[in-house]
Amino acid sequence: MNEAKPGNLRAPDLKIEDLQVGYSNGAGAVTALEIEQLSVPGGALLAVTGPSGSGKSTFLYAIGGLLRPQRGRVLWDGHDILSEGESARDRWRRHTVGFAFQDFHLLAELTPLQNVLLPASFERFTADHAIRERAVALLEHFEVPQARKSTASMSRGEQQRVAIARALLFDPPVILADEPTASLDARSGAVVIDILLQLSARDGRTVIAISHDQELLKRFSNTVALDHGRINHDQTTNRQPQGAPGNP
Amino acid sequence: MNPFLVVRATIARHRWTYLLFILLVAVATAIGVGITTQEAALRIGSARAADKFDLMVAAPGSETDVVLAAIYLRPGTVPLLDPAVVGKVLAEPRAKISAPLGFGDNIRGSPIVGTVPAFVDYLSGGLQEGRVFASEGEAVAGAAAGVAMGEAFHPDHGRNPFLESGTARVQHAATLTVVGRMKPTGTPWDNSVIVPIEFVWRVHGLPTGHAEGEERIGPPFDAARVPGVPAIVVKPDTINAAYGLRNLYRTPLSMAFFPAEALVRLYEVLGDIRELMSWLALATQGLVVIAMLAGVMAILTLHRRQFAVLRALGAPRLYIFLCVWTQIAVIAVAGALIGLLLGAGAAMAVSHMITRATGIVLPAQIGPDELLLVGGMILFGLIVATVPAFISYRRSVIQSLTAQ
Repeated sequence: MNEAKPGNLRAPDLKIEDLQVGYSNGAGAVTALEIEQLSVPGGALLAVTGPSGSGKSTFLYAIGGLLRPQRGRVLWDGHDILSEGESARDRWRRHTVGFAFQDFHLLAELTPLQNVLLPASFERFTADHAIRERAVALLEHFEVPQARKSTASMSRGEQQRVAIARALLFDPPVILADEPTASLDARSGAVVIDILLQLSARDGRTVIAISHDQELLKRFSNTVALDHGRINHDQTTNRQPQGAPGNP
Repeated sequence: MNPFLVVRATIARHRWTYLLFILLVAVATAIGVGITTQEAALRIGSARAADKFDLMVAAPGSETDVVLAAIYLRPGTVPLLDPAVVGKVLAEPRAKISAPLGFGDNIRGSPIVGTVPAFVDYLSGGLQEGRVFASEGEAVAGAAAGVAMGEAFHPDHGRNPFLESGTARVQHAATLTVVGRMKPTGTPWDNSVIVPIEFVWRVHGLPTGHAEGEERIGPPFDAARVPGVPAIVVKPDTINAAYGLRNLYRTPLSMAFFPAEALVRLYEVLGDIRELMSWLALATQGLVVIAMLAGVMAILTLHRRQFAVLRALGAPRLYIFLCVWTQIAVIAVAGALIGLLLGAGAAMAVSHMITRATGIVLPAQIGPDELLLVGGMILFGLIVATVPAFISYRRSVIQSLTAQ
């Protein structure tokens, strides 16, 4: 971990312009997401909320460069990620975005350390010494017991911490989390929320989390509410002027 | 890129299923390897057993019957060659050895075969102990025959009391003494006890090929005093002589043939059977690979979301391809190699059983054919593995991530 050097990362600014994502469901084309304008400055702490089917996940995958929109642009520091080729986006995602999921998606048969090191295997055959040390340091920082043979026997809170450590392996300036506390009890959830806040406030990362968790929504400075794929401005909050989402 | 972490985790999670796949591939490979190995062993072993039987002269009839009776010492009735022809063949000047064979008795299941001393030497290439019989009451044991050096016994009448159930045991009054033992030949003759042909003729009340009162054994024989025999083995002194003699004794009274040729005809049938079985084995292998593929595809569907997560974490598409491909490659390689060992082991076991039953040593060995088969199986697996690998490679991340 980067021990307490606030803002040592320059997180890119996110700008969404005229984005429309749809899919066909047999009966015809359905628009899953339609966002005219949204700006999220680097280092912002943003919660995305809304009823199920409101396009929250689609939003997260779109800004993570995982899908191709019908139209529009997702600009990270002015760079349109969705127009890139598949392998360029993979590389960009590996080093710029760390994903965390509701169900962690760890490989239960591997040790916590192997799980954290998994993204290193996307690039090289063996992880080099520096990256290995970083993985160990991340697990120590998140107080994950490393002696475990498999992650299957760990508590859910520990598993989510391993997953966040995995997301941080390449020290990405952006963290995208899909319901990170939804499958945790209140106490473990609170720990995860602390970590996410720390990643933003202390490290200067942009943290965007989809959540229904009232605890998380209370502690995140900004909230974007989605409804039927559109931003519901009535419920979108902006408690800190410097992290202002919304129409400029 | 290193897909092995993911491959290891996936295989560990489905270890029983993957073990089953590996076993299926192994069994399919083993069947193919076993068939080709065994067929080759059967051919080489039976051909070796016939090595010393250059030319056979017998009464007209089935060559196969004569080969089975004379070379493989199988019980069975072979018509007797006319005594006039026997006399002529035994006196044949173009033959280095002209060995009449006489069957009909046994000792504790080992067939007793009567012939001439020179054939014993020729068959075994020297003895491992003792000497060749020199008088009518002496015998030479095959390497594996159940009689001891120096042992004296009365032969039992009949080919094999263990096979001919229901026949009463009849012992001959005459005594045989074992004076020598042959080296192992890897043929059914290892289980035989070889005696002077004169002994066999005498105990069955036939003329002995020599003048009345003459005690001598072996050639020359008195052509007027030889009885009929089931077969004569001739070792011609030249190749020309071999063909000459074969033509000479192809008469209405006798047939002459090269056992090697008769075997080649058998091998053609054997080869056809092998070909058929090989195709069946190949079809089995193909089916097994396809079944395994269907199983792997089902497992991959379970892991669809996991692969999409890997993509979200920054894994390139090629990484996903390699994860899937490597899993199937592991099954194909492990299965084929285990199958090679299983097949070779099974072939050796079958060879061993055949050797015990017949005395024919069958060299079951892994040759280029078997390696080609196993290599082909692996290659087929590796190529086929690209199909699910490519499907996973192409699968939409977003659909897999949002699928419930």
